[in-house]
Amino acid sequence: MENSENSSIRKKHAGAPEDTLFLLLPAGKKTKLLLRDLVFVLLAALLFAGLSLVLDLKGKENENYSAVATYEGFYGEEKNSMDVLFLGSSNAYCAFSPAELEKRTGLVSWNLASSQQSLFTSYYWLREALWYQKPKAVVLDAYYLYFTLGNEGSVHKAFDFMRPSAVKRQAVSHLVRMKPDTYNKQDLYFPLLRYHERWKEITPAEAFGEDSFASLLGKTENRGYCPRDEVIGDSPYAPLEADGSVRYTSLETDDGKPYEMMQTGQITALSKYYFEKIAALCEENGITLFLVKTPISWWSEPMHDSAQNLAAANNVPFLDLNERSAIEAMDYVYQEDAADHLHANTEGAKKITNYLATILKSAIE
Amino acid sequence: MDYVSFPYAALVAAVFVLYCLFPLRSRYLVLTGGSLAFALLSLSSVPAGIVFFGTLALGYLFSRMLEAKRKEKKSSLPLAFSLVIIFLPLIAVKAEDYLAALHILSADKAKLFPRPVGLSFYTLLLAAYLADIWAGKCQAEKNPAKYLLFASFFPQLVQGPIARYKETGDSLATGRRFVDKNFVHGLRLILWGLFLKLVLANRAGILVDAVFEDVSAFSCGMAALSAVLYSIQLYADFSSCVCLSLGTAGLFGIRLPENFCHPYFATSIRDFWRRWHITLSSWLRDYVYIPLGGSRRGKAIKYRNLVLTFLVSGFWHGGSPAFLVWGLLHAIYQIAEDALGIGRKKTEQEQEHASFGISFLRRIPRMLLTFLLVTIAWVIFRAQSLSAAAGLFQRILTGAKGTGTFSEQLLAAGTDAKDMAVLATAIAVLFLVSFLQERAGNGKDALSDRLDRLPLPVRFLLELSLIAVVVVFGTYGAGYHAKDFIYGEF
Repeated sequence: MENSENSSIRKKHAGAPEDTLFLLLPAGKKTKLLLRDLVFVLLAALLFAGLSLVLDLKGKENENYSAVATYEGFYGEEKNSMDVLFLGSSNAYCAFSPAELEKRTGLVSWNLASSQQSLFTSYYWLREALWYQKPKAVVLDAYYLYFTLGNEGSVHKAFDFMRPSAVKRQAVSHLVRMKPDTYNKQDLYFPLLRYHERWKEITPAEAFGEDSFASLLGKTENRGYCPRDEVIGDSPYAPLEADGSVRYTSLETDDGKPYEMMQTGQITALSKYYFEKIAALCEENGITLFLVKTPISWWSEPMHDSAQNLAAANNVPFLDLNERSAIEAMDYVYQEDAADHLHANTEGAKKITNYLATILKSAIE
Repeated sequence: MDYVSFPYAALVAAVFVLYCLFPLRSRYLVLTGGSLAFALLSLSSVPAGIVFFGTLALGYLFSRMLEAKRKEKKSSLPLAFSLVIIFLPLIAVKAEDYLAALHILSADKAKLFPRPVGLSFYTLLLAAYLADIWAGKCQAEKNPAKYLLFASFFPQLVQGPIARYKETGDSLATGRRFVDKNFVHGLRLILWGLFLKLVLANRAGILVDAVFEDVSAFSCGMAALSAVLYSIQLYADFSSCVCLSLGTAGLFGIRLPENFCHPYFATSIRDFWRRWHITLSSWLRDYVYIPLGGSRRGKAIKYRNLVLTFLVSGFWHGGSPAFLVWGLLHAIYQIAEDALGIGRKKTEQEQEHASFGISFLRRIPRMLLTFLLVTIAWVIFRAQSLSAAAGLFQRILTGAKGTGTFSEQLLAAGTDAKDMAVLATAIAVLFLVSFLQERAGNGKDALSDRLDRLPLPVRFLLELSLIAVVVVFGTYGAGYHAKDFIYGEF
């Protein structure tokens, strides 16, 4: 028997075909329509995710390194299994080898460094990492103290793989506040909206082959370390002397003159702010933080001094591997052990990691 | 607030959910609230807000006054007075624009009068409403919330369609229950609108803007291409906004009037104006052309009325004399057609359109000629100055060579062969869909109905493919500065 509400509905919509009014449909038909809509939404979500996997930046540097492997691999590791975490820019991911560290000391580690990783990114990735791991030591490369955020692509390469956590929410909100013309929330949560234009440059290898998300995901054996085979060869390099007599490790720059950061050693305000936050975070969590500078061509006495002062002000040990004492202790031969002006090769990375291994072992014990 | 933005999508979603939750009789309040929110978020300044709400408030008062005085019919002074007041803000803004275009006022002094969102559109909507009340064609809406809803319904505020109270007043005010078909068709129309705007219009705009900015670097071929692409860009841009408007309204089961009927399938200029910006054309016909006497007082008067009507159209569209020339050109086209007996009566053309197939092929030469004439006029419209338009025409007619090869010129214009390939494909898709719609009959719904009858997997495939195309090939994002809807600037 039709109730009065339904009959009034029918009267009001006298012109509309009765069987299209949703409320008046039989329960089975309603369920069918809702199910159809749900299936559509799910398929659309899958489509979006699939397009994202194809088009988003994967941060592949060479056959042995990608941002995909670094971050997705990190999340896939057993919780609270790591003793050491490495952070920093490409200087760091070419210099610190977790496999070498474990071989030498049994310490388990992961290299969370990424291309042009700023102190901002290092801080937020450390915060995120501490939800999954309880390391006893963190090694941070000092190079990015003299820069700000890094380019847009490098920021995306680090943050696109961070899970949508409270940490990410804070990082995104700070990023958008800092550079509202470059970043917005939807692009940082859904990178496809930023990188959909890459349809022009996508290759079959990146879409389905050896450069695809699925392929890169499997290559985690280096635990975030990027082995480089190149050798810089005949390139001048002078380690810093204890008496400060060597001002620049090398003048092999674009124009043969030292870059401004080498002359002034000026640490940026953004980097100082986030370094202090990293130091405080480590202190709160009982982690020993080491500020380290790997051997590079574009380093100087002023940069050493400012890094030294900042570290000291925050009770953080600073290990400058550009000092003669360190170079000699590592038996580091720049022309053979560096891949280029800023990065160590596999031989160099072994020497750097082994040098740090002893220090890390004793700090942790 | 841009119609193509996440905040707008969030507003529509919120309004939709609230609409479904409210009791039937008070559902219109949700739409009124949504329209108020949209207006407040879109108004650029407090003075603009004062002008906007002031005009709407006066419109309400005038509507009640006109209804009361209508029966007296002593003189048309009440109507004239009301219309003058309603039109004042629009006239002031246009006056500023013309004074700036003629270099009587400097550019910064010519933006003093507030420009509320949708000024050009809601002014005409209110004027029609008041005129219809005076003529006894409709009654004044006494409920202020329902009146506010009619005057500022958010999907149509920015770019129309310019609805009449008889068409939408009741439909907006009556609470409607959820109907699956309306919802799906509405979403489909929104998706199609996003395709037109993001994949087609924005992409075409890159090349068009570059060539119109400085035609001297480009060849005659590029100049001609930019003219053709502008015709398509303008259609796609405006049509996309209409799709977004109608689609959004459709979610609620509200039918707004159609504004386009495949204008580039027109076989004469007269036919073109029955297919392009239909609500404006009918507004001009009912409130300018017919009151002037229409075509009932002899040829000379008819031609005069055509000229005056299209001058009004030109004045409404833009803020420089070039727009008046554009309007005049369309009037001349139609006068010539009338004199030559081209552009048959509406009923004959409707019969022709109904019998599809080979007759479509026969229409092609006339369609192309009409398209050419319209494009020539659009060049003046886009150039916004006669000298700039002349520069482009000269470039085309003298067979000028540009700087570098075609590929190099594309790069100089900020685009490339891949983008052009996507654009060409999008235009082909638009043509195909328009052809299918024209064949399916009245309105876009007919094609949507046919889509409903396809097997579900096929339907899903088409719809998901379109979503993928919009997301991947859409021209939007940080690397691209979104183009405002062109007609929103009027």
